[in-house]
Amino acid sequence: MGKLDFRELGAIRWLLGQLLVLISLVGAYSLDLGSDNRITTSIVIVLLTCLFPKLVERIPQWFWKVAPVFLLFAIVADFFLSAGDILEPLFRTVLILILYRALQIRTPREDLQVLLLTLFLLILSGVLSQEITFGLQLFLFAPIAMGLLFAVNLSHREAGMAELSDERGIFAEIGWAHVLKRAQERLDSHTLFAGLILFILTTGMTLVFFILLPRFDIGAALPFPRLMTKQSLTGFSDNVRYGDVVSILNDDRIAMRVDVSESNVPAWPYWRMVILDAYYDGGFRVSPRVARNYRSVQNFRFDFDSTGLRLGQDPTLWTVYLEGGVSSYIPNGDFSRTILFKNRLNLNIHELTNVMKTRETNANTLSIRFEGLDFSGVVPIGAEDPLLVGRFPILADTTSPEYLKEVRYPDTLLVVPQGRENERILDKALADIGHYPGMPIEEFAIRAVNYLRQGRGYSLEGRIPDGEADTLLRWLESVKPGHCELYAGAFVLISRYAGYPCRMVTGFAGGDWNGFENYYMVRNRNAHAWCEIFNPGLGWIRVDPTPGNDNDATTVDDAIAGGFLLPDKTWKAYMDSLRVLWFRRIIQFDGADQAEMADSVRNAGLLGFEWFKERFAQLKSRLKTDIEAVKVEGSYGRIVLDISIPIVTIVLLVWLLKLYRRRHVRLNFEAIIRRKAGRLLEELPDELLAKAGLRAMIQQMRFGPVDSWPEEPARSLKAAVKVARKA
Amino acid sequence: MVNWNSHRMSQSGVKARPGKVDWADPGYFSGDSRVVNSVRVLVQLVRPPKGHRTLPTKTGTMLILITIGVGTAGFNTGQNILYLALSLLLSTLLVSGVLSWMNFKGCFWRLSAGRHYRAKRPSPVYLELRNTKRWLPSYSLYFKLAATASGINKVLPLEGRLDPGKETRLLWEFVPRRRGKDVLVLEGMVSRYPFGFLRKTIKDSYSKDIIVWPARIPYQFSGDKAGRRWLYGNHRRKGEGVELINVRGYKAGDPLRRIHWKASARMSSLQVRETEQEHHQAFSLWIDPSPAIWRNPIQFEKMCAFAASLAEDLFQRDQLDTCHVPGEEVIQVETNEDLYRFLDTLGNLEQKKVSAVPKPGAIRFAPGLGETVTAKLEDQTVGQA
Repeated sequence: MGKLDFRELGAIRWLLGQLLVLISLVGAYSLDLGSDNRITTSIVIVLLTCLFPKLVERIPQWFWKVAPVFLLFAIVADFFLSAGDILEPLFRTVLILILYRALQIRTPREDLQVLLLTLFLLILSGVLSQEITFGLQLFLFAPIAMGLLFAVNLSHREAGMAELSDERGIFAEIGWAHVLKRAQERLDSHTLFAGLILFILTTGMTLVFFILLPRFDIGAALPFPRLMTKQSLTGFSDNVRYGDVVSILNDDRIAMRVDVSESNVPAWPYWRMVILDAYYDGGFRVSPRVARNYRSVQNFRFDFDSTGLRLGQDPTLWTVYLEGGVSSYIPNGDFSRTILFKNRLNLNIHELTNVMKTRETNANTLSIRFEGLDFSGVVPIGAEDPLLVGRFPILADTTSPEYLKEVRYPDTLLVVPQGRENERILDKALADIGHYPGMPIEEFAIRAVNYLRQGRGYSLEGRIPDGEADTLLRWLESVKPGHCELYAGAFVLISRYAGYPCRMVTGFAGGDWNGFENYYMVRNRNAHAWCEIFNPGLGWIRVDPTPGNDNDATTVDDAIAGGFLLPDKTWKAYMDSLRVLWFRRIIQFDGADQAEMADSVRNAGLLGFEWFKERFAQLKSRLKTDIEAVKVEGSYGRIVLDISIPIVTIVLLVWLLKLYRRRHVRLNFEAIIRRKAGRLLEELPDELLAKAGLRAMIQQMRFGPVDSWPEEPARSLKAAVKVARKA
Repeated sequence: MVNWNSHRMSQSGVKARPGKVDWADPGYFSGDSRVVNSVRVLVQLVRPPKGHRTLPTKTGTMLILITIGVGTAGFNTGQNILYLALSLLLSTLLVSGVLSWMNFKGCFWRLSAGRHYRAKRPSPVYLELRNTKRWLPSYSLYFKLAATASGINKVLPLEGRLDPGKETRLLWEFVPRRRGKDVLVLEGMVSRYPFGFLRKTIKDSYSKDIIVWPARIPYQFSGDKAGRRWLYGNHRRKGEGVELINVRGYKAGDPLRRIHWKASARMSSLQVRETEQEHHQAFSLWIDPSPAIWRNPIQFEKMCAFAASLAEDLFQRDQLDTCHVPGEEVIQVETNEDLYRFLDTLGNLEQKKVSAVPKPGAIRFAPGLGETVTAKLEDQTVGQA
């Protein structure tokens, strides 16, 4: 059971390296770079080499001499052809290099290269995806990497030492069974203990560093890539056709998580994402002017002027974790005073419609923190909105969006489809609603919603009969059940025809309440469409004509108490809560959290101090009372009782301390005596020791075997010290 | 002739005291008080004692560069994933330092050199190492040894691990390059444990003076060629001959064939015969180091080696009487110690002018043809190397 020879050590190093490769490759799946097939192929190849390492040794040596030239050429060509895109060719380069090294029997130096490459890939995946899986991968990666480094270190040869034999061909004579058996033999309790200490120390210190490292932000002074995707969910783009929003209603995946610091928040919040002002047959869209009219700001904090708004000092902090690939539009309430992003990013602020958009859709989770978020149902009036006052509906040919070349925002908010049939349907609708000139907007909205819901149900299918009229108006006339887009679209057209500017909004409404960590799990099926009708005195009033969405006034607390909202406590919700914890504790951890933690620690310390102070004061006052009682009653019983507990506690502590000290002395007796003797020899002059006849004895105790010591060595040393002091 | 001229009890800055041979340790815990020890350790972490040095290796330097890179990216973007990676890298560095320190802790070592050294012959030098830690093994320790005169530097590795409470000996097959004085030095201990990021060195200053005897060389020698100064009577030495010189009582271990049965019967107790060694011929060696004779230093070195080899072989055959180097005392070679003294003298021999008259009948050495050296007895050549 001797130490591992170079072949066995080499095989263990190789296996650890392959494991690191596998972990980093699995982590790379979280990158949405369209390389899943390459990753899968690489994983299969690496697994095969793990199972049959002799295959690797069969690759001819000339291959390794020729391959680097081709690889270099391929990498340079890839970067060149990618024309400015850094991430994808960089990812492919790392992948190729990892695979190149994974297919070799490696020297210790090459093992370090594998470690470096896999660490790079892991961090790249983690930074770009920010997924909780990164934490898990790091947790697995760290001990294996340490094991590899340790094995590499064991293989190290100092200058002046004999070199190990050639690393190639380690599997020619030994197989996994042999290596694992030998490794098992060498893995005894001492090694495992040392490994455990190593892991605990590293993990503990990592956490301490993570918490204590100061959080500066030098404002992305250096360019840093972000992972973007061209895809986003249907319904949350500039063009929404009928059925786009509905198409994701069967999708149960989580679109965003909404973390709140308080629980007295609306149970059914409406998250505005896209404001669609222009109508054409087939759907709503963002009119060209609105789409082009934005200011682009690069920052991580965005403050909005709330002067004149009736916003309270709501202390609730809302943190939204928007999943990658959902939309480039930022979900928002009716208004928010401040929006904070974790990182500096370019945001396009469309002030005409009060929405925000990133340039491209984030491929990974985007954290957004809101302060002063309002869900009152009234969106502040925009700069050009006053132009809508006193305007009449604009009848236009909406069969195609061509009319938008002539009709521009804010006129687009008044457009209804022209044509006799269309006007007939709309006239009938207004008549049924009971609209009259000068009808208050609120009254109109209530009546219109009631009209739309009358005799209709909710259906995702929304069959629309054939006819000459506009699609949406055909549905309106048919009195068939429909979905949110049809209800909202019909309401918009009726409102505009009645002279009330109106627009369609798509976003998310409501969500499931996670019972473990108290946050909203907003799923794709919570995608919704509703309307905003313009009230010149107030702003844009939210109207949701879709049946079944009337509970926005309730808070979460009330909804749970009333049984309207059932917290999700399934295991899926538990797993999801871990993800939120990851975001809360790791991704969102910042200077404010550090300050909060420091306060907690300080308070805990003060609390302990206060506790002792309080107990001492209590004891003091009790003793005073007891002394008074002694004067009156002449009995010391209460004093004895009061002071006995602290005295017994102190005695017990001192006793335990002494026990510990005695044990320490017993276990280290030889070393202690030798050290004491050594100190005496150092401190006392030789002449004095010789004169006192102590030198031989002390030297014996310092250097000689224990058998040759005097009967009571400690006492003898004490006596020697006394003699020396006298001298 | 071993001279322990200097050592340290501890490498923690305690003054060296001559004349003692002790285990050395890193000096982390030289006091009894845990508090004082802990404070010392903390102070030493900030201001290492003289000779203690921690430097990053190539891998460590790479790790530091990566850490700086990840840190810059972290501060640039404020991404906590990067902060997490940075924390892991920093903690790995720190743990590496702490474990490197723990690896040394509780280790005691000392150099255990042999007594005799001969040029070009391997001689074992042992490094004894103890791990007095209670739980943790020690790994990957390297001891830096040197032989200064020979210009040999040796790194003695602790391959594998040394379990807590265990002791081991590391062997250095030291091959001195030439005769003469040399100094074996334990220069220090190095550890790259656990990850090879840091190279922690503890300087030692333990040294030992040694004398390297001349190398053994092949030679030809035949005492019979000379005047055959048989020295019968000079010594009647016990041996395997037939000439009876004494009868004595049996001692345990005496071979049975030597029992003198007749005498045993007469004395009523077992008696054994002691016989004289046959053909006993004893030689004296006379070494003249005069530069006038040894103009070629190579021949002088060869003479020393020849004399040493011859003296040893003659002693083995019990044919060495005296050895004399002018200016030194005459050595009557009877025991191993006498021979060693002569070999030490040869080890230290330098060319010098002497005026002593050679002992008659002693073997003298003189330069031969080329680089050869001849041994002469009464002006007749009896050997050559």
